[in-house]
Amino acid sequence: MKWLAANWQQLPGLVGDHLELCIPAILLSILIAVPIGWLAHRHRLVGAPLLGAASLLYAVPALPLLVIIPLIFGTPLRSPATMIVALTLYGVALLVRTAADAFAAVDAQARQAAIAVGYSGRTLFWRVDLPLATPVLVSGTRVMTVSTVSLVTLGALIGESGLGVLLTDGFQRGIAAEVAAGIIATVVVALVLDGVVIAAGRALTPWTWPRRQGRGRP
Amino acid sequence: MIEFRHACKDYGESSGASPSHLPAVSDFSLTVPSHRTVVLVGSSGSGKTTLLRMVNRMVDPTSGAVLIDGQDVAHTDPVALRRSIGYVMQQGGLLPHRTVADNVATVPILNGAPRRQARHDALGLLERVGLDASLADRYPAELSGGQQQRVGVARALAADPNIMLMDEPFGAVDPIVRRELQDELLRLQTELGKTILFVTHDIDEAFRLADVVVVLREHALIAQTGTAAQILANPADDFVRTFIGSAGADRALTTTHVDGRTVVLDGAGRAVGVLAAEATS
Ligand SMILES: Nc1ncnc2c1ncn2[C@@H]1O[C@H](COP(=O)(O)OP(=O)(O)OP(=O)(O)O)[C@@H](O)[C@H]1O
Ligand SMILES: [Mg+2]
Repeated sequence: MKWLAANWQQLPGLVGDHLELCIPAILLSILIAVPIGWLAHRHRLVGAPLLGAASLLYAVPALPLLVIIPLIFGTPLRSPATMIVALTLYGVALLVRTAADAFAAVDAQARQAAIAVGYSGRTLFWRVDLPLATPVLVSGTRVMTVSTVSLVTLGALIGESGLGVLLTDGFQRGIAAEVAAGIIATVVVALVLDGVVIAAGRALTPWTWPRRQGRGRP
Repeated sequence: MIEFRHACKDYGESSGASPSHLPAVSDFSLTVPSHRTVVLVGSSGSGKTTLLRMVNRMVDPTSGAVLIDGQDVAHTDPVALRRSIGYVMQQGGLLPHRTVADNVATVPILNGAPRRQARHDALGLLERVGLDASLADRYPAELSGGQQQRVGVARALAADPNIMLMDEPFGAVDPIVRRELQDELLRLQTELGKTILFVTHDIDEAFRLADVVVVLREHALIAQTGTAAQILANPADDFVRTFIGSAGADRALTTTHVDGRTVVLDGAGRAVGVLAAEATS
């Protein structure tokens, strides 16, 4: 506790650094995984290998990945960009299968009805498939978000600032309170971002939740 | 006017048929005159939905053709075609994530109508099909089955199509509501005079709504075409007789004279009415 009393001012800065790494990664993961999931669902032949490759990606250990990324993407070895690319790869790996499932879960009858009244191509995707897949996409995004927040701590290993710094520093210097503070702060950030995803999901899918009593009723 | 000319549809081996399998629709020809209601009636799997979907190109015939006002639909743009035809399906087929008003306004908005105008027109259409405008902002899941069907009809009417395709639209509601919906459709049809191709497996519904009834066997083979009166008076064969069967018992009406009036009795001997000529005298 002595440690916390002396060092609490570090926390906001570290949380800020943490968010700067994980929020772009989470957004990029969604932007990349959703179209791939849709493609995998619509075109089984392309889809099965895509999903397989994505899942394999998740099995690549983090440290080698952090070394390979600069070689492939040309990002500097120790940089936020390298970290964001790594987090995005893991995020996509985690989300694509759920994204494919989300599109598979779209009510076939509603989709047929939409086609029958004249939706097609782009309007069908944006106004029917995507909204109806959103509830499942949101649950996948929640898992991916929490996972990303915890993975960011690995950044400390390549010198990226974030809450992981508290873990590495605490272990090296044997300060249990610092390690505990790092873990708790990470969990709190994860819970808060999870809450944000839930709130966004609700805002995007007003038809799935019961409304205030009496609204719209005579 | 809709014409089916020797239309066939074979879904192929995936339909799990025997080696000697016949297609879902085999050589179907029929003319649906403009401003008339033609009802296709047949048991499950006889190909009714397949026939309906040939009209708006949800299904393309394997051979033969479907023509609308003399033009082969195969040469039309399917999306434009679908937007020009009203389609009502079982369970309404409403989009669960759009409000009632947005569902009704779907086709005008797809066609580029301004949103406000389309929503405003939607409220009028809701009234037209007997729904209160206060339901406009509800989601389909917040409506009863009967209300959903009415919204489905309103949506089909929204683009003011000449043709309406209705696929067992009242199949999922209780008999009393079904009756109301049928009355509503009859009333709308006298006002609007659409060309309606209606599908049901309920022979009573067919007799109530149709100008022409088409009784189908398996593979969409036509067992009999005619008005309700013609089919009741002269069932073409045993298949048709069996099909109108349970109804047949009820329809074998007899009369008896009570207090100088002619009372009509049903098959079970229950009084169901009085002969009209005398009732009004
Ligand atoms: N997409 C499809 N793929 C393969 N077979 C199909 C398909 N759609 C329908 N069939 C088959 O075609 C036949 C006719 O089906 P259809 O849906 O037209 O019947 P229906 O008369 O509408 O039946 P119901 O009253 O149950 O709705 C059935 O044997 C069905 O299994
Ligand atoms: Mg059917």
